[in-house]
Amino acid sequence: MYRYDQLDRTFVAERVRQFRDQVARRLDGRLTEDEFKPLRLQNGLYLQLHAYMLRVAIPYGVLSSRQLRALAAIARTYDKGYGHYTTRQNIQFNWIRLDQAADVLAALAEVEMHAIQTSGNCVRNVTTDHLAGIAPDEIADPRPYCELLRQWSTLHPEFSFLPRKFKIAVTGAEADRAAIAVHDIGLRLVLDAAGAVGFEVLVGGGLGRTPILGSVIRRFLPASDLLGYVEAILRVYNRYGRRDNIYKARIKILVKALGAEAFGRAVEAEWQAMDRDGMAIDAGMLDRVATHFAPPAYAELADAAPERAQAMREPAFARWLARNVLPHRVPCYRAVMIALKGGGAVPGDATAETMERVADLAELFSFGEIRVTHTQNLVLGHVAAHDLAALWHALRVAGLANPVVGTVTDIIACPGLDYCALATARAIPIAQAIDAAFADVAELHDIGDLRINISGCINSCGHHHVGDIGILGVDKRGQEVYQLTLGGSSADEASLGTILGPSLPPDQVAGAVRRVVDVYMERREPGESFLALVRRLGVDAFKARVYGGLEAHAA
Amino acid sequence: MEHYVISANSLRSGAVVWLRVVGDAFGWTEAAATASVGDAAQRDAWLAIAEAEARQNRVVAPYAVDVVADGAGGFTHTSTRESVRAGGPTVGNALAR
Amino acid sequence: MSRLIKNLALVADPWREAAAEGPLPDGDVIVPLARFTAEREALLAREGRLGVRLSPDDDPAALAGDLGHLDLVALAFPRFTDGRAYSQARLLRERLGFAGELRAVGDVLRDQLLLMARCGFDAFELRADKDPDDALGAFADYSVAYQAPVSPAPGGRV
Ligand code: SF4
Repeated sequence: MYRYDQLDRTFVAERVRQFRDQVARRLDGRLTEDEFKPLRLQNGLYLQLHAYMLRVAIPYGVLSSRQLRALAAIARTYDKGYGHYTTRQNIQFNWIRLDQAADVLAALAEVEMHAIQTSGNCVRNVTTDHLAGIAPDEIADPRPYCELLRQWSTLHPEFSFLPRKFKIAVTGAEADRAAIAVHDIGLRLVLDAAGAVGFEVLVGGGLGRTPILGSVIRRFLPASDLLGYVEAILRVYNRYGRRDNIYKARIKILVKALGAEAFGRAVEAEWQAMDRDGMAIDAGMLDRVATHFAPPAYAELADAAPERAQAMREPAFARWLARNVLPHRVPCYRAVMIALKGGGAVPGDATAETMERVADLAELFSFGEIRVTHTQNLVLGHVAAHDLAALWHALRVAGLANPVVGTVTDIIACPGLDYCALATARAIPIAQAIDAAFADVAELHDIGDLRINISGCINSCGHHHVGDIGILGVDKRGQEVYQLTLGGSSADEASLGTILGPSLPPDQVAGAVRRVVDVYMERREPGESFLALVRRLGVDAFKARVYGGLEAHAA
Repeated sequence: MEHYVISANSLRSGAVVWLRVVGDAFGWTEAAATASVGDAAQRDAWLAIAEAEARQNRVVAPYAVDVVADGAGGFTHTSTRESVRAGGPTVGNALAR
Repeated sequence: MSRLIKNLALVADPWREAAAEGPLPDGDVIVPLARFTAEREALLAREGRLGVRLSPDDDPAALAGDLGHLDLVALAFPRFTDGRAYSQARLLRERLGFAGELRAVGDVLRDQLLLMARCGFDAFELRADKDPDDALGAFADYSVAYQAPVSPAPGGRV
């Protein structure tokens, strides 16, 4: 994984010192709240419903055991003993004091972490495939490019006060696990006819109150031109993006207003006029960064699938293998998912004890490396197949072997009204109710892959538009009600969900999900995914079942 | 009759606080139950106090919250949002600690 | 007391701002772009140095042919959160080769000074209610940066 060099260390230390000084100036009144707020946001510090919340970046979702232990220590020392993993490969601490925030940042800096640009109207933490460097379907490792983007975007003097926040996602695999179509810039690593590495470039995707899928503005951008081209996109956006209306300020609105083609032409013109050679990523630069992402020292293992025999004997182990263990590009290794879900858990929450336990297990079984997924789970990415049984036992003891990854109860949920100042309804209790309604693991496995996403307001941090089943909490005259959508997807052939019908009160949501799943189970062809069925039948087939006999709230 | 409490966050800690007024004296409390409940006339006067407190860098973003007074100095919130804000998260790890 | 920061110090400001119309002050004068466009010949023929002020939605390329005659370009921050002038500054320095004084005016605050400097600004009119000595500290906030510095001389980044 990436290790800081002298520049990184100096920079992050100076950032902490700068923020400490800014906090002091806020406390003594030299900075007003209006002046301070953008500064604290660019350091990840929000004022939420109950307290300050600090959002810490987990660059490209990769952590070392040492870093995870440091996060656990922060949870214990400065918070209430837990943290929350978000859909953007970040971790949030919910109870940070302003007068201790700089101390937390200093503790992070000691383990080469930071909270820089995890909020604010700037280029946010770049996200990528949580299986980067692991997945068998990978064309090229996206992480070196993510790191170059991190460096380029960090305190970029031209782009620190954009019209609105700006999110970049990169995928290097055939299957898009980074949801690039719903980002301000989505980058897909591709090869040209000659085998050279480059990017397909999408712009203008995003969720929120105006969900839009990104448009391709370039089919092939040579990889060495990445930073110049992204800079050109940002410059066009910074100059022409709307600043008069916060709801129309994202780049997607500009792209839509100009048309993707005209926007693309503006970017090309800007890029052509730029000092492209000066911005080019030379081979030495890429190599220096790429060495940080060299694969660990895998052992030569004889037996490619030693777990099979044990799976025959132990059905619970077999179930865990079926859902939580993924293939690895190295044949005798596996990627093991740890679901922070099920059993009444708050999706994405982890206590300090859990973090420490996972850090220990990563050291024992996975070269001391942990991944964080946008589905709010953790991954031990490099587990030798012959260690799977031992790891499974250890995870079981820790209550971390819930075999539900990718199923109905592997719910993605934002913090909602339990924590978030912008929320219009709670998200977590809805997740818990669905979880309780689908407690039978055998049934979950029977249903198979089915993703539920819940957001507590139209900002869509729970990505409800792209869930197989999306659930959006809204406020109706002070009461929480929930709107269901079906048939969203953030993967290839991404699509936005279609609204099922009138909003439902909280106590009817889990029942409605149950009915939707019933229709799927009754009507699916062998091997047919939920998404395929919704596309085949349309939502009306589900609507009749959900609302038949249900007393629905007026829409 | 309409009733209000004044709420804000402590600048330094971020904690949710409520304005408590006793005669000419006032202070901020973290216990919602001890907030002062006022009518529309008091609301404006108390908001002015709270805004001055914000300018003095003691609290952030003060605002008046609609409540239902019980007539004995106590009150209940009218929206889910305000009751969650007053009572803390309704689920999960926050409850255990 | 002067509010103008240049070369890491507070300096006297010889420049006067001219309105969109009406009589011009004597000496070194900064005019809005529209006035410069309308009265270009007369302004260039006048005694004293000339500067032009751009608003954030003006295109710096409008000055492309005239930058050699200008001693100063002022770029406005209507609010410190409006970042368009950062792009204008880089375009003026890197693409159009402007080597004169590039001045930040408007909602100019301590915590953005270093960003401005790194985009090519070299003069900063601090907002009137802010402490200039406090603001001078901003330039020492960082000793390193991930991006190449913007060179005030023509020829682009090095
Ligand atoms: S979707 Fe809304 S409620 Fe949920 S975290 Fe985002 S802003 Fe908060």
